[in-house]
Amino acid sequence: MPPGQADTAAVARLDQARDLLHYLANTVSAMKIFPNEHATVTGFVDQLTAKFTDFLNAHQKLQIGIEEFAFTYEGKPAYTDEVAIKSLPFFFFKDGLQIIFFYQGLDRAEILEFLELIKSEAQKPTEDADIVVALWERDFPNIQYYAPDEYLENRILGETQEGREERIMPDLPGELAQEMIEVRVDASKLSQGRVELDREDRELVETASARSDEDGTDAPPGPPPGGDPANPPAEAKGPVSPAAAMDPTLTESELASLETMVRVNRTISPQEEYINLMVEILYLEADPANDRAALDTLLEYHFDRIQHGHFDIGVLVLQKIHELRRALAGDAAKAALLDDFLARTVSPKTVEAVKALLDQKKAMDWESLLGFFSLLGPPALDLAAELYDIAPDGQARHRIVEFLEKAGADRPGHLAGLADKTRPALAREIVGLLARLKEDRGIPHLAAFLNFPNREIKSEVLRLLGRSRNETAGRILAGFLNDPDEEIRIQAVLALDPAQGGARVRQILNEASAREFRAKSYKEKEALLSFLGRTRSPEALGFLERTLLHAPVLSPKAILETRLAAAAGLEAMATPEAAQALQKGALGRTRRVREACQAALMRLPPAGAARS
Amino acid sequence: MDNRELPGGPAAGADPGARARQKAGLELLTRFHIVDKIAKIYDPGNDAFQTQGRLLFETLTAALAAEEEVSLRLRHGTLLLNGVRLKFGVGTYGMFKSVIEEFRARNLESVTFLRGLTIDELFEFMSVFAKREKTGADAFDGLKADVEAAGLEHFELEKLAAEEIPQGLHESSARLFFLSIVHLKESFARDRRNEPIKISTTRRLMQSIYNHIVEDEGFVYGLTNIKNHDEYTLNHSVNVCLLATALGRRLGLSRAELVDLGMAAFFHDLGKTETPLEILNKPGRLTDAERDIMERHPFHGAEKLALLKEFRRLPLRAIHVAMEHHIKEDLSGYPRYFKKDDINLFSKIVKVVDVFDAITTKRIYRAKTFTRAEALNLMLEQSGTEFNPVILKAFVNMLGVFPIGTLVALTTGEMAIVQDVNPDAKLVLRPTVKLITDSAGNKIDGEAVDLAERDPETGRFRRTIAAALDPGKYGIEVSDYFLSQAAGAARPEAGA
Repeated sequence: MPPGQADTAAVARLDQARDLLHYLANTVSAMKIFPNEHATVTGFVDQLTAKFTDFLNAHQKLQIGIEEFAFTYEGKPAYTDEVAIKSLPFFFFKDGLQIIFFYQGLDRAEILEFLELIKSEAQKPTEDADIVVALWERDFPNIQYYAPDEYLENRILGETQEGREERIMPDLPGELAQEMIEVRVDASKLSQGRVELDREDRELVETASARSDEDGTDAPPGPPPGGDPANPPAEAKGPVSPAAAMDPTLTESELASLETMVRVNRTISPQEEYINLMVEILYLEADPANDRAALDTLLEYHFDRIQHGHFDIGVLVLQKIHELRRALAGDAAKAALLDDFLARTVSPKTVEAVKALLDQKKAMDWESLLGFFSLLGPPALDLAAELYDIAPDGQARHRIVEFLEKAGADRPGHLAGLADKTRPALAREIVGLLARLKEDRGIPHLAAFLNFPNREIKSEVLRLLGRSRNETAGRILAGFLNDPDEEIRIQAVLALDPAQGGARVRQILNEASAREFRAKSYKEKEALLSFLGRTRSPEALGFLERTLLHAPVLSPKAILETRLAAAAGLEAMATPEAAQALQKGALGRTRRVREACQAALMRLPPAGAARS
Repeated sequence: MDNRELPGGPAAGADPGARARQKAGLELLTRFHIVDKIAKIYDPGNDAFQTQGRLLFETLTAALAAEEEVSLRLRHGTLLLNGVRLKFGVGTYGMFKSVIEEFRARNLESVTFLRGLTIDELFEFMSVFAKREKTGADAFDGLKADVEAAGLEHFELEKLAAEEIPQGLHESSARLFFLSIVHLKESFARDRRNEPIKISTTRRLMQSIYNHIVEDEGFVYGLTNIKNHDEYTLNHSVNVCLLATALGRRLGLSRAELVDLGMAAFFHDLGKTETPLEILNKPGRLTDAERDIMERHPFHGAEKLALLKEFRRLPLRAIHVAMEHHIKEDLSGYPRYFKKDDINLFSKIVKVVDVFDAITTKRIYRAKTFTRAEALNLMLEQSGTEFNPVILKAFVNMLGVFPIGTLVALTTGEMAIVQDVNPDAKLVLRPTVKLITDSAGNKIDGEAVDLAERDPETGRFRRTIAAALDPGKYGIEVSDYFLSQAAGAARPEAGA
C-alpha cells in the first residue's frame, strides 16, 4: 500500500476506534444510571455491538492502550477523560491494566457481560474491586488484556512498607524493598569445579548404561506388525521405581472419579461446609475465650444470613449447634457457652431483619423462616407473634399459627400472653390454639381474656369455654358474669354448664337475690334464671317458684320482668315440680305473668316426658 | 493454556451445539497432533503416516464441507478452532501443551486449512511442519518459505503477534516467587498484630501465579526447588501454593476455583504462627505434649482464618484446607473430627503437594531429606491411605516420574537437572534436562536437551537417565540452576 494510502487508512482506523471508544464510555455511563433492561441501555449496547462488529470484521483485532486518563490506538490518543471518579481509562489504569484486546468473534452477549463486569466492579468497595482479577476470572474468549506484574510488585512492596511504617520501624528504602525480590545467584560458580559420583551412584550408572546397550530399547522402533509407531512401546527397562513403573496416564474410571470429585465440590454448599467446620473448631477448641470468639463470629454470620433472608442457613446453624450441644453435654463450660449462643440467636434482630426484607418487598422463604423458628423453639414464640401481622398472606399467617401451636404446646401461659389488644387477629388465633391444646391444657389460660377489651374475641372465648365441660372452664365462664358488657354476660350464662350446678347455682342465686338484679335487662334476667332452671336443683326450684309467685301490690316493671324470667326459668327446668309452680302462676293476679305461665305450660312436654 | 471446566461439564452439557463443537475440535486437534508426531519420524510414504494422515484429512474435509476454512489458532495460551476455544482435560493436557509448544517454537499464531485442500498437500504440509527446525526468531519465516516453496496453496500461516511472545518470563517468574514470600510474610505479621490482611492483593497474586504457570510451567515447578530461604514456613507455603494451583489446573478446576485453591494453599500453615519455634525446629523427637501442640496447628490455622475480620473475603475453603491438610485419605491423621466424615477436594490436593514439598526439604528434625523422585515413590506407597490415589497420580503425571528439579545421572556420564516433563505419557522417562556436568564430571553451564531425541544415524536415543541423585550428596543447589536462568543472575549473591 503506498504511504499516502496507508496514512489515510490509519486515520480512518483511528477515527473508527475513537468513535467506538466514545460509545463504549457512554454505554458504561448509561448502565450506571439505568437498569440493563432499559431501552436506553439496550439501544446503546446494540449500537456498540454494531460498531465492534464493523471494526473487527474489517481489522480482526482492536488493541487499546490504557493510560491514566486516556485510551490510545496505535499509539495515538483515542479517548480521554480526566475526571478520575468517572473516567473509564482511569478505572482500568488504577488496577494495572495496560492493554486490552478485542478480537473478531466478539458478540453482543460477550459485550454485555463485559459491560456488566465493569458495572459490578465499579460498585464494589475500593478494597475489593479489581478489574484485572474480574476479567481474568471471567475469562472472556474474545477479550484479552495485558497487566504486567510491576503493578503487583509495587502494590505488595508498598503494603509491606506501609506495614513497617505502622509498626514504627525504619522506612524500608525502595532499593532494599526491590532487593527482596531480586534474583541473586552467582551463575559463574555453576560452571566451576567438578562433581565425582560416589561408588554407589557410579555403579548405578554403569549398570544402567550396560542394560541400555544390551536390550536394544534404544533401537529405533520399526513399525511393529499392527503396532502404532507413533506410540513406541513403553520402556520396560531402565531406572526402576514405583513411579517409573506406573503408567501416569489416568484411566477412564480415574477420570470419571476425578470428574465426580470436582462436580461434588461444586455442588456442596460452601455455607454448609463453613458451618460444619465452625462446629468442628468449637469441638476441638480447649480455650473458652477462643470458643467465645468463634461463637461470636458464627453468630455474626448467622445474623448476616438472616438479614439476607437465608433462613435455611439459620436453620443449619441452629441444628448443628444443637447437635454439638448434645455431644458436649458432659462439658459444663462448653455447654454453657452453647446455651448462651442459642439464647442470643433469639433476638429482635431477627424480626427487624424480616421486617426489613418485607419492606424491601423481597420474596421471603417462609418455609425456611418457620423452620428456623421451630429450631429456636419456645423462645421464638414472641418473634413469631410479631411477624403475624406483617405476614404477606393467609398462608403465611396460617404457618405462623401452626408454629405457635406446636412450639407453644407446653407453654399455654406464654401463648396466652401473646394475645394483645393491638393484635386482635392474632389474639383470635391464640384463643383457638388454647382451646385446641391437648388435655384442655389451654383452658385455664383463657382466663387471661377476662379483661380483654375486644368483644368478638371474648365471645369466641366464651363459645370455646362453653364447649368444654371442664370445671375450670366453668369457673372462668362464671368470671365473665361480671363483665361490664351485658352481651358478654349473657353469652357467659348461656355457655355455663348446668350440670356443674353447685357453686354456679349459688353464685347466680346470690346475684338474682341482690337488689342490683332488678336493674338488669329482661334478656339477662331470663338468661340467668333459665340457667337456674336448667340446673334442676331444688334451690333453684324454690327460688324460681318464690320469685314467680311473689306479687307485690305495686309491681314495678323490674319485678314484673323478674317474675317473667322466673317463668322462663321454670319452663327451662321442665320438671313436674316446675310445671306445678307454673300452674300456680297461671292462676295469679297479674295478667302477663298468667299468660306467660300458661304459654310455658303449653310448651312443656306432657307429664312423664320430662324435657331432657 | 486455560480451561474453565472439564470437557462435557455442566456448561457444555447445557448447550448441545457447544458440546458437539468441542468434540469435533478435540478430534481434529488430536489427529493433527498424532500426525505431527509421526511426521517427525517418518516420511509420508510410511504406512503409519498414511493411515493417520488419511484420518486427519477426512476430519478436515468434513469440517471444510461446512466451513470455507478451518483455522487452528494460538491466542493467549489457549487454542481456538475457528474461533471456538478448545478446552483441555486432565487426559488431554499433554496434547494441548505439545501443540502449543509446537506453535510457539515456530512463532506461529495460526494455521488455516482452506477448502479445496488435497490429501497430498496435507501430507506434504505436515511433513514440512514437523521437520521444520525451530530456530527462534526466523522459525516462522522459514516455515512459511518452505510451505510456499512446496507450492502448498490451501494453507495460510499467521505469525505470532508480539503480545503473544512472552518476554523475560523466567525472571518474572522468579520475582513473583520472592514477591509471594514477601506478601505472605507481611500477611503473617499483620495477623500477629490483629491487623487486616490484604486479601485483595492475595487474590491478585493468585491470578499472576496462574498466568506464570500457564506461560512458564516447567520453570515455576523448578522454582519450588528453592528451599534455602530464611524462613521455612513462608517458603514452603509459597511452594505449596504454586504446586497446588498447577495441580488444580490440571484437574480441570475453573479460574475462580483456582484462586480459592491458591489462597487456601497460601494460608494453609497460618496456624504455625501459634506453634512455638522451639517445637517447630526441635531436632529430636517430640514429646507427647509437644506433639499434641504441634498437631493443633491445623485447627489453630482454621480458627485464625475463621476469626479474621476479613474472613468473608477469604474463600471458605481456605478454612477447610488449613484444618484438613493433615487428615489422611482414610480419615486418620489430625485433627480428629467430631462429626464430619469427608475431606474437601482442595484439602486433598494441598495434602499431596504439602507432603511432597515438606519431605523434599531439609529439616533439622528429619534424618533424611528425600529427593523429589524418592518423595514420589514414597508417596505412591501411601496411595489410597494417606493420599487420594487419583490426585496423587495426576500429581505424578504433572511433575513427571523424574520431577522437574531432579538431579540425574545420564548413561553418557553427564549429570543433568530435569527441566521439563515430556508431554507424551509414553515417554515419561525422557524429560528435557539441563546438562550441568560433562561426561568427565566437569561442571558446565550446559544446554537443555530433550531425552526423547534420537541420533538420526543410529536411531537410538542419545541419552537416558541412569539414576536419580541426591543433590545434597554433591553440594549441588538445584534452585540455583533455575534462578540463573532468570535475568540479572550475574549479580553475586549477597551475604552468602
